[in-house]
Amino acid sequence: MADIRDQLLAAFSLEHREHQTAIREAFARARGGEAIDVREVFRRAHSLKGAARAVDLPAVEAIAHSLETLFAPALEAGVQFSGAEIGQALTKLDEIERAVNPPKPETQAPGQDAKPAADATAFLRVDAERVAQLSATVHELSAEIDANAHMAETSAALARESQALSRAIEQALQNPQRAAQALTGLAAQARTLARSAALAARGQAERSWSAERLSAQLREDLARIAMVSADTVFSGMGPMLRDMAQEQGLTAELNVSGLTTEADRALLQSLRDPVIQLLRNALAHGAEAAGERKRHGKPEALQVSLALSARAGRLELRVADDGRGPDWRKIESTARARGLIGRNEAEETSSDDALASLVFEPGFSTAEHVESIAGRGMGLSVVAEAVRRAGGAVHMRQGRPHGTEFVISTPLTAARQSIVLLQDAGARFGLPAYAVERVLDIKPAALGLVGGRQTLSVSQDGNQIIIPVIPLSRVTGTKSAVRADASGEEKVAVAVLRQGETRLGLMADAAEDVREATLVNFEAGHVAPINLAATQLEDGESAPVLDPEIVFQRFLRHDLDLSTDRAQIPVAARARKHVILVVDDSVTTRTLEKSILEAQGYRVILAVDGLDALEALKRDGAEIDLIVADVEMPRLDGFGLLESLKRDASLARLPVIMMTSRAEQADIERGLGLGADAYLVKQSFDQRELLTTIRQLL
Amino acid sequence: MTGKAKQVRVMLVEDSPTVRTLLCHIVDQDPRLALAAVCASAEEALQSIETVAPDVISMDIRLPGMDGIEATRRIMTDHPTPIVVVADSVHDVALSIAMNALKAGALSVVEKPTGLGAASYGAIADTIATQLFIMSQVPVIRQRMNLTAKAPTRPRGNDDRADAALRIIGIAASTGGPPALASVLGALPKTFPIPLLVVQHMGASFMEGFAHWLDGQTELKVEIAKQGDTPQPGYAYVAPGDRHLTLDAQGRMRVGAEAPIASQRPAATLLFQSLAKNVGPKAAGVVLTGMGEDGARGLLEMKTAGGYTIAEDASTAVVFGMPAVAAKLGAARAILPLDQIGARLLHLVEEAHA
Repeated sequence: MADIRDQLLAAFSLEHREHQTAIREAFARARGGEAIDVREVFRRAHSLKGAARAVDLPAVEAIAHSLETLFAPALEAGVQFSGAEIGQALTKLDEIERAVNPPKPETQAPGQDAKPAADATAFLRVDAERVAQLSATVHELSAEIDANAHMAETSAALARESQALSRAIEQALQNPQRAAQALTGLAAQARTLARSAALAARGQAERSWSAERLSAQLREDLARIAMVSADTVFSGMGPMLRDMAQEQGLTAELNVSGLTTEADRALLQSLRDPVIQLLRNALAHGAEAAGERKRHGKPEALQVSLALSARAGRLELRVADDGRGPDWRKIESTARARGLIGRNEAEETSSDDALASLVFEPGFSTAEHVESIAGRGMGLSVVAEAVRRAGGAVHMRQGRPHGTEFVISTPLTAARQSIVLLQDAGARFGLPAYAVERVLDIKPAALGLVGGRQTLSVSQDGNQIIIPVIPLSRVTGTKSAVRADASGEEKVAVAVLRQGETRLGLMADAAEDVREATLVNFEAGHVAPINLAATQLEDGESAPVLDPEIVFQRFLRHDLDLSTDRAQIPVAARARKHVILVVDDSVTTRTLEKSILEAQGYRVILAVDGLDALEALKRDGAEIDLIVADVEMPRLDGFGLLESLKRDASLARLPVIMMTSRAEQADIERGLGLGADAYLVKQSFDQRELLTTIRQLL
Repeated sequence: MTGKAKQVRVMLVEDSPTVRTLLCHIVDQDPRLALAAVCASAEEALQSIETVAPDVISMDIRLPGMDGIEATRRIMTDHPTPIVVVADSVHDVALSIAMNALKAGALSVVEKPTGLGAASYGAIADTIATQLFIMSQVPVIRQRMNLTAKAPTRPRGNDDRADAALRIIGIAASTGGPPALASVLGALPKTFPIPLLVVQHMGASFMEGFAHWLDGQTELKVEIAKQGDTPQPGYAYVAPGDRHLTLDAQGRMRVGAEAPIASQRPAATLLFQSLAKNVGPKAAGVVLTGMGEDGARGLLEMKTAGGYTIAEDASTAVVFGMPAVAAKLGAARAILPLDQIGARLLHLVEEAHA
């Protein structure tokens, strides 16, 4: 019985959310002058009533019933709702909202991770179409795998042909008199073999490319399934803001847009608290005296807006207010007071942009006194940390025409994204794989010329289509070694970007395999819009990932003149390598692990046993990102080290991988029980396992 | 479990995911029922009804897209299946839609379920499950309501004259009753001089709404019968939910809570018996479509007392249960197809007042 109750509550939670959003959006459109489907709104109120009844919420059932009564006249008369009816309905919807989600008392200290509402995690509504898409991709991938199996046969055939040729040559050698005659036949055989081999090689390459692409597509489809619309996480912000304002004796109104934006559910959940913190911040720092507001012609209540949007694989949240805006002088003086700006910069005043990033430092606060909601100085740094963990960045800037604006930008899905890497003029550039239809290796001579533009003819679904091609260097502003009109035999790579039915080829020196990579934001500073993000490569280098939408925009608008914004190549030095502390009493093991890790681009610090490790942590603890520790060591063994780490608050969160030659269950349990993040057995030591584990933990 | 009767296969049509979950649970919990399909809209139901071929359908009345009435009509035309309508019992816009769905061919209406914690949960869940089970047994035929001219069957029993001037008419119906009553009463003008007393077997909470709906289907005024009132010409009085309706010797209506007769309250037999006893030959009785045998005995008593009695013919009865028993007992002086019953009543009145 308890199980069915949970199911009902979970179903109700989702349904309630859906009806609230749909009705509110309809009203928003109605207020904007659009004609809406009155019958549908009525039906939703009716459904909500039935649903509330089914979960024993008589209060909600009653309000929903009054909504029905309110809607009935318009429905029966076949007309639109009046403004008064909509107003009353919204009030009732708010009442229902409060009845279903009673506001929680402010007991959480800032910085604490809020637990997601239990009902929200139980069920996930999945778009049937996405499941269909996933299914289609899986089918394609299976077909691809089947085709791959065929390759084995081809290889076997090749082997047979080679052997036949080999035998034929042997025979010919044995009969030198007949050699000359045999030679012609042998040459023919060799040619056939060469042809078969070439065919096989090409086929294999194609298969390989297809399989990669499909498995990337599969990952994407899967990620999309976990995508929900923002309103499931960001509903109820309006009443929350109003309540928070009321507590302060202020009035504020929230305008929300983009609630239908879809993103990974866990990501949205992780951004909910930061957004709430930003709302608090807007109240604390943006609120002004009524007279002040009147003078500037602003409405009485503080106008706060929350806008969500998604573009090119990024999720963007903007929280803005129309209050007094950032007090740059105050920020600067506070920063100086806290030593965030060096004394020797006393002469120059820092730019607003630079100051804007300082407000996210822990402990920074310009509030005169610690207020109940903001001002402890923890708020914005917690926001920055949460956003960073989601792989994104947050910026503050002056709102226009007044007020303050915060922009959070993160990748849409927490999953790693597939990137196509292009090499050009010694540098590497990435393109998000979802935008790349295919990558071709061609000879420059294959390019055609149409209307003065370079083009390439490709076959697509049985048809020949012409695609315009531009050198990647035009986009990135780098000097390309490949001249567009080279007639040499050197092959070039053309990545075909696709947006809807529009295609564009980017020509570069060479293309590398598609790979999975995490996209990170550039460090602070002016970033050209064409740079979507940066991605960390294995050798520690960073490559800029270009925004296909911007490329298309520029291409379509300026028609080839892309020199206005150069792609920025991040300075290699800024790419921070991760530091791993390797603890093992065996010099052989230490050396082995060190070389493996350094080959992957990590920096390695060594320690010979537990005590040595603790010393190293005292010295360089701030730098160390992860520990790989042996269990059996003298003086302080792996378990002892673990215990010491967990006791120290500053080190407790450091990820620890235990390596042991003893694979006994009891040991493993002990290690994991003490808080080890992973347990690897040396005997079956597979460096891939270690590297994968490290990547997961970092 | 050996010897288990085949489970009744249920198709649920309900747009609210929450209510769907609860209905699925109710069906699951009842050993007589098995879930065959769950549809979130009428369109889905129509699409899958051929392949699923359920034994009974539970239909929500308010659906996105096509509504429950249209869906009922289509199903009864293309793939006739017993339909049980799930509706709010509160007297409101939704309810007349439920009644109209009954008119379109749905067999019965049940209340929407309350949550598991509500005191009434057990009773309502049981009603829903039982109605689904019972209605699944009704052999439904292609809807004839929409067809125009059809050859009138020869009424059996040529007796078309009353023995005396009529004073009161009693009508009883059960499954398929609402549209049948709408048809009979709809044929009577507002000047019809004889009041009618109606017993319709239906969930108690729906009676007010039903009376209100029936009122809209006829020129006569339709009300819930009130204790002690005297029936007036131009009116039809419906027995209130879960109460017996009878006429006393003074010609006043009595509403009582005596024990149910054969599980029925209101019981048609009780009404007819009171008419036989207190009005005798000046009363007429009509038994329309319905399951069971309520009314048959009472009708016989009316006939014996000289009253004029009619039973609905098998050719039009949605369920030829009550009228069949009446016919078997020889309780009916005339057995008529539905569309001729109203005409017959008019005829009797004209004859008598001629």
